[in-house]
Formats: sequence, C-alpha cells, structure tokens
Amino acid sequence: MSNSPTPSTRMDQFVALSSVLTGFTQDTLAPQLDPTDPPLKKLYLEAADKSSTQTVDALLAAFANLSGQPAQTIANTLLEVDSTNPTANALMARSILKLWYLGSWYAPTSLIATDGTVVAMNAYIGGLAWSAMQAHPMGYSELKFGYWNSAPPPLSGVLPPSEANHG
Amino acid sequence: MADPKTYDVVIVGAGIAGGIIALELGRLGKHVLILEAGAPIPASREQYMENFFLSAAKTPESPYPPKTLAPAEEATPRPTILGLNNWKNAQKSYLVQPTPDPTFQPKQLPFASTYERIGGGTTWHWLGTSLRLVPDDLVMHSYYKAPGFGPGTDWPIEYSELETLYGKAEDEIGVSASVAEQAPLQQAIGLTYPAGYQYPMQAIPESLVDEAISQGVSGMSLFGQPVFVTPTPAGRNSQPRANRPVCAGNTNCIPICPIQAKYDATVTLNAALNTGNVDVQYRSVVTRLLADTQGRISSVEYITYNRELKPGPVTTSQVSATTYVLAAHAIENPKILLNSKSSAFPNGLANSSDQLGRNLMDHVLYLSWALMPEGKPVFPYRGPLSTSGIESLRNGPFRSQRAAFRMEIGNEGWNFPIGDPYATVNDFINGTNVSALNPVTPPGTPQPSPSLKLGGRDLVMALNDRLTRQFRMACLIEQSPQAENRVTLDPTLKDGLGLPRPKISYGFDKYTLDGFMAAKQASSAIYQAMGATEFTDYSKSQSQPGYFEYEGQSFVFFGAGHVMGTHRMGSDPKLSVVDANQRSHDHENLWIVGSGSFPTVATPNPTLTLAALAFKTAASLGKALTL
Repeated sequence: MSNSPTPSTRMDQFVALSSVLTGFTQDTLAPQLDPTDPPLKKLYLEAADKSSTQTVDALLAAFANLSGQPAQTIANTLLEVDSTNPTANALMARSILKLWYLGSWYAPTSLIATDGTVVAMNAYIGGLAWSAMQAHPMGYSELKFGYWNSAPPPLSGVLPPSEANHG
Repeated sequence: MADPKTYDVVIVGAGIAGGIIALELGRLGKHVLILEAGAPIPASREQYMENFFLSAAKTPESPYPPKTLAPAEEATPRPTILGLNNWKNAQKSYLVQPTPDPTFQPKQLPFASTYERIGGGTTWHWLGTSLRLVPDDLVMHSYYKAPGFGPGTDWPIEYSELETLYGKAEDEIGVSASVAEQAPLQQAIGLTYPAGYQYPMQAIPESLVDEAISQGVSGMSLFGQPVFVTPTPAGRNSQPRANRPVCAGNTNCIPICPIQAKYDATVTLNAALNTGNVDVQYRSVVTRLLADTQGRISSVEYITYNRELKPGPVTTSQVSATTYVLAAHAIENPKILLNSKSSAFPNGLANSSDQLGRNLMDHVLYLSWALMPEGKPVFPYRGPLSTSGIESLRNGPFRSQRAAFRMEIGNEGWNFPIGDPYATVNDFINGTNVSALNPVTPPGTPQPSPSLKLGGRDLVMALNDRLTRQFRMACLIEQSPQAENRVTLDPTLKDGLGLPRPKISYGFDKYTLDGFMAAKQASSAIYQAMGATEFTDYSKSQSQPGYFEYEGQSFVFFGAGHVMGTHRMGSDPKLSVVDANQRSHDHENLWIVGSGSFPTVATPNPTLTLAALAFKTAASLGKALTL
C-alpha cells in the first residue's frame, strides 16, 4: 500500500500513514464500506488533531517525503525506532499507532500502559491488538460456540503481502 | 391470602440466593416481597456493555453503577477493585480496611474481594464455575483435625443430601459438564455423583491452553496426588436453553457476558416474578430488622432513594411479613444484623453465639503466569475466561497440615497478571519492559541492545509471537476460619444514607499461608514440566494492595470474589449463627442465606453450593409457612 500514489485528501493521507505505522492494510483500517459510525479514521484523526494539528501536519509532510520507500523503512523512520530521544513527530506517530492498536488515546509523552482513555466503544472493539494475536476483543466475539478448541485462521489475511526486500 | 400486600416472606437482596427462594416460594403460592438495595435489572444489557467498553480499567465492577469512588456520598456503595487500590483511604474505599501491621505482614491485610449491589447481584460477574464440594470438605474438624478448624466448623449437613440439592441448583443455573469427564476425580479427591446423574447440558469444549497444560502434566504427581486437567462444570450454555444462546467465547465472563450465555440471577428473578406471587422493590436499602420481646422478627426497616449519588431527602418505611430472609451477601448480611442492635439485643440480632461477622473468608488467590516455548502458540484471549482446571489437588492427607487449593486455567493470556494486551503493546511501541517480554539485550542477541521499539509489520510479528504464547493459572486456596477475621460496623464512617460502613479485620494464618506456598510450588513445577518459561514476579509489587512477605519472599494475593463465613451454619447454637436450613438459631422466623453460611470454604467457587443451600432453605421456609 505504501507504493500507491500520493493520496489526495488529508484523511486519505492519514489512513495511508496509519497503514504503514500499524502494518495492517488500509482496507482493514478503513474499509470502503465502513461499518463503524463514525469511522475510526475520523475519530482518530480528530484525537490526534486535538493534541496538536501542527504536529499531525508535520508528520503527514514527513510521511509524504518518504513516498516510494518500503513500508517498514517508512514506519521505522517516522517512529524513530532507534532513537532514545524521539522528536514530537515520532511521539505523535507512536500515539497514533497506540490508538489503532488499543482504541485508547495516550498523550504523546505517556509511557504508562494504564494511561489511555478509550476514544469510543467501537475504538475498543476495533483495536488491532486483538487481530495481531489472532483473537477478538474481550467482550466482542462474532465467532461460534467451540471455536476456541481449534487454532485461529492465519494472520496473513489481515496484513499486506510481505515485501520482498523486507528482512 | 386475601390482602396482596400481606406478605408471607420478605427477602432482602435480589441475587441468586434470594432469587431461588423467591422462585420456589412463589411456585408454592406464597406471597413474596424482595427488597433490593440497588438499581433495577436493566431492560437490556447494552448500557452495561457500553460502560464496560468505555472503561479504561476493565475491572469486575466496570459495567455496573455507580461509577464513583465516594462511599460517603453513595446510596449503595460497595467494595470495588478501584476502591481496593485505595484501601488505606476510607474516603475512597467502602470497606474500612485494617491498618497494616508492619511487624507481621500476613496480618492486617486488606480484604480483597468485591461484590455488587444491583438487581441480579454479583452473578452479573461470576465466572460460571460450578464445582461441587467433595465429602471430605464437610468434615475438616472431625476428619482432618486441621489446625484452626475447631468445633463448630463441620458442616451440619450430610453429603447425600447436598448431592440432591446440587442437582436442583445445576438445573436452575444450567450447568454444562460431563459426568464421564469428571470421573477421574472420584479416585483422586472422592467426588461422586448419584447413579445415572447427568448434567443439564453437554460439556464446554476445552481450550488450546487447557490441552497444552494437560499434555505437559501427563504422568505428573505432587503432594502424593496425581496432577491432571479436568474440564470445569460451568453455568454457561453449551446448547440453547432457557431462552438464552450458546456461549460464543467472548472471553469476558468477568466483568460481563455480552449475550447472557452465562447464567446470572436475573434469569431466576424473572422466573420468580412470572409466578405472579413475587414483588420486587428496587432502590430499597434495608437498615435494620426489628424484633419483638420474644425474639420474633416483627418488621424490616428500609430506606428508599431516587438518586444514587448524593441521595438527598429519602424515605424510611417498614414492612412486615410472617418470615424474613436476609440474602444480601456475606458482608451486608452481618452489617444489617449488627445494625439491628437494641437494648434487648445489644450485640445485634442473630448473634447470641458472638459468631456473627466472624470467620470472614475468601479463596486466597495465587496468580502465576508463563510463556510457551517459541513456535508453540496456545492462542489465548479466546473462549470463555476459563474452561478447565486442575482439581486433583483439592483433597488429600496434606489437609491436616496445610490448605488445599484448586488451579484455574485462564484463557485470557496475561490480561489478569499484567493488564495485557495494553502492557505488551505499549512496551513494544515505547521501548519499555513492564511486561518483561521486551528486555534489554534479548536472549540470543550478540550485542548489548535496548528494549525494542517497533512499528509496521515488525510490531505485528513481535506481538503475535509473544501474545499467542501467554497463559496463566490461578490457585484458589482454602482459607481457614479465624474468629478475628471479621466484619464489624465502623463507629464513625457512614455511607450516603447515613448507615454505618463495614469495618474489616483480615489476615492469614500459617495453615492458609502454607497452602499458598504449596500453590506456588505446584504452579512452578507445572510450568517447568511443560517447558514453559515462568514470568511470575512480585518482587517489585510493594504498592499492590495484596502485597505481603512470607518466609523472606515477596508475594501478592488477590481476592477470588468469594465472600464467605460471616454467619456460619452449625448444629450447636453456641458456635454458629444459623442451622442446616440457614434458619437463625435465635429468631425462629429469620433465615440468613448465602455463602456467609459456609462454616469452611474448601476450594470450589461458592455459587453452586450457596444455590444448593438456597433450595434447602426454600423447602424449610415452605414447610414453616404451611404449619
């Protein structure tokens, strides 16, 4: 997905950025026919903007500048995974990443797992952490009686195809 | 009776015990009034679900009202986990907890279990575990002569009678289990069933976690007992039953089953109301019972309120009936009786034995957690919270020396131990290591390196690898009855209606603590046998409410949510509060029911047994009302 043309709207850019940060497809994050109302992308961009529109804009600009690079490289660069002194952009990227995984907003400076605020009911339910562990949100199963007695479907279904040059 | 407002029975508390008694008496045509302190049963559970989804801390109480930490301002405050986290501050903790004793840590600990005060009671967030006691559980004094289990601690009931009552309770709750799967427990711990008995529904399938532990402990023995995994009889539907769906494995029995596949007492309450003979009145907090000079209960005094927080002006009323049942749970029952003291009964009602409020017990919970070897996921966070346990260590000759325990296998990864997935997700984004899964210089790393900070596919893969290998076990340890572990009334601190709040004295004796140590030993031995890596670590847990030190080691205990023992049953009125029918020795028209009646607690989760006893009480009440 990272190789797609530069997205047109700010929301499109935010979704493309979110896909790269999370490792999940854009269609997983924001399906064409989004069953969630309001859509999570809208809630999450609002939450990030509420913290600092300026930083979100700076992050989106940095993302646009990395266009064409492998998704993992872009994610590592924006999140500053090797830095011990991350910039405001990187801290914002981490907060957005936590939002998608946990449905909770963490202030960019937070390092405490219990500090999050649940953004909305659907945000909790839509947390990617549950998909990453091949499970379902605790309290929201759409599965059938006894499913827990067999292994879940493979993870690959929700992820973009692995990139050839990714080690 | 001609006048519908003339009641045969007033029941205090709309939980499972009160519900069963109301249903049974309603079916007999008796007129029943239930006074429930808290909010009505909601028309649908959607509001409770929304509360749950939006709570940052998904504690057992999180779906239920009220959501404040202000016991002095609430009409029906109750113990909560958030309150427990503030246990030293009585402005936030409803229970007035003990002052910690720095000289001997295991004394003066906080009582760590919670309960609800709403229609349906605490079954809203029970796990559904429906284990029976075994015959030896009833005779800890006379058979095991266990230290601390003095005269008055044998149950005044024959196991054969209890067996019949269990059948009724399992039918009402709707228990899913297979007698054939339980059969190995006959030789191991003496569990038997009447010939030909079958549970109401087929067993709940085991989880992949259960299967991994089952394979790992194959051939193992501990403390002279075989170690094996047994599917847990559970009050959740494996087939459509009682207009409720089958379990969809929401992994959320506690705090709330989203689809009511798990039984809760609203089922029984609705059936009771449908008899046409039962009335329920919500937001009616009983303050005290009044007794005449002969000791017969003459009326119940209660307060009705409109607002939960800062109730403002309230109304005090009285209602009379032929008989009375206190079914308000094991802390509220003694609270009401102690608050009913008068010049004729200076120690409170039903308290000539001085046992009322004493012998407060829980199943002391030892929690441990581990990670399966790489490449061997067990796919937790799926299925009911628990589907199996190790029950084979619940009974044995060791009980003359130390407490027994059962081991509950968890299907929710490290959610209980460390609050996952939140802790581990934060760790791998922040580069922190609260979970212990993201250490500095991970094993196999050639050069010193900091904890990982990840994003993109790397994050997905790291989380998938760690989270799918997590599992935990919780040992529920039999706490011995101690007279000094008790509920009294705080002389000064009040709730929002001006009623005195429960004051707790609580701690562990050596018998219980040695059981705790054996539980730790067994848990570690099982992880080792499985080839799993144990991560249990309480060395930095000083700020947790259940922290204590014993034999030079750091521990944390948790409450199991099992509040028991405070109005124990017995045949000797000098040593017990109620008889085998849960009828007060002192007041012939008063019954006091629930797990407070347990003289000893053994190891099974108490709901099934207290439901069984409620059927016995209903029969005894029915007879008394017919005479």
